[in-house]
Amino acid sequence: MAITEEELKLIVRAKQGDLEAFETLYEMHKGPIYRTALAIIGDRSAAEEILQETFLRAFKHIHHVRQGVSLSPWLYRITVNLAYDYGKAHSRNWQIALDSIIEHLVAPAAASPEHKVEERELHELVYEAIDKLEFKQRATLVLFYLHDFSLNEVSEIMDCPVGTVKSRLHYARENLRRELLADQRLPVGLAYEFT
Amino acid sequence: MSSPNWHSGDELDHLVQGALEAQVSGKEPPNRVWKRIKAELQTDGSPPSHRYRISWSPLVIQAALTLLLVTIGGIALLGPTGLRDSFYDMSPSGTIAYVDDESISPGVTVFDDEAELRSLKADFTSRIASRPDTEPISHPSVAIPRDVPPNVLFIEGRALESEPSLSLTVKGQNPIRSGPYPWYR
Repeated sequence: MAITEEELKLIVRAKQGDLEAFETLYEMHKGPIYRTALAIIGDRSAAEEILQETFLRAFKHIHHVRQGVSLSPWLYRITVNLAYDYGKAHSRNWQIALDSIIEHLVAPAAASPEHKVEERELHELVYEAIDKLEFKQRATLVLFYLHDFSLNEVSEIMDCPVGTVKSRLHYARENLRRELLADQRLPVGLAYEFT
Repeated sequence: MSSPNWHSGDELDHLVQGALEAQVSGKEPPNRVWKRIKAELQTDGSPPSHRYRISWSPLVIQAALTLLLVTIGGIALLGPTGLRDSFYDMSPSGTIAYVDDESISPGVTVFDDEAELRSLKADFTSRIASRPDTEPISHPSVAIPRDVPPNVLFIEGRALESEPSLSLTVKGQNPIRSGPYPWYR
């Protein structure tokens, strides 16, 4: 993952304890990190907590960052590890953030075209299936599909061999296929596509 | 960031990608997250690299001031003829004597040369009470007013060595500290 000249300077300053530089680094990375946590955990408040803890840890250990290396892979790794810890400590299925429910209720369904509603429902269906995957498969899927990272980048973030990433992706797809085919809500035509 | 072999592009891949993006697209963390991080960092302190790093500037300033004071002190110790022998050499060039004589008002008398002091001593020999080094002053015959300094004869160390008769009134290079007054005990 390439590092920009600006990030390089900011890291140097942050290593010297410059909080303003670290804030700029936070602004640069907060979005993708937050979305990664949100995609893996599926809960906004948990994603906020993970984002917060990720950057606290990053600031505390920033002097370990090698010269000329982007913070990005390291931040993702912290995020994935924290999400894993969170998943272990919490039962994921019962925990639905209140704001997610509200958002769902106030969504202007009537104003949306029918196919949009269908598409959204379909995405929700697929996300439900993703949510049921084992943690490592789910995290690999998120990094690979959401951020479009290469296998090498995912292996660096997940701290595992590329072969393991391939294996996890393969089994994640298989499990998703099985799960979606078993789901009666899936449109018949689409189910045919998976077989 | 591409891996075309693994992004197969089939329907499932599109669905997974779409589902994930729909779940998080446009979602940004609220500002309160950074506020919490900042508050935590300010409470907890700086990162270890900073927290455990010594701030050198105050130490450098302190060292410079110390060096300056030492230099000034050194210059003061160095006389025009070079380094003096001891701290006592910095005393006035004359000899200081605290004398026990009610006719002389209490205070410090500076003698410019040793001969003058000796003649003075000869005059006082009969009146200076002999007393052991470590014992407090015992002057039964002399009435010591309570509001005057104690009776101490102080002569520089070298003067003492050359003047054995003063040995009873001088202790090493220190003044004899004895007498009825508590601040000299």
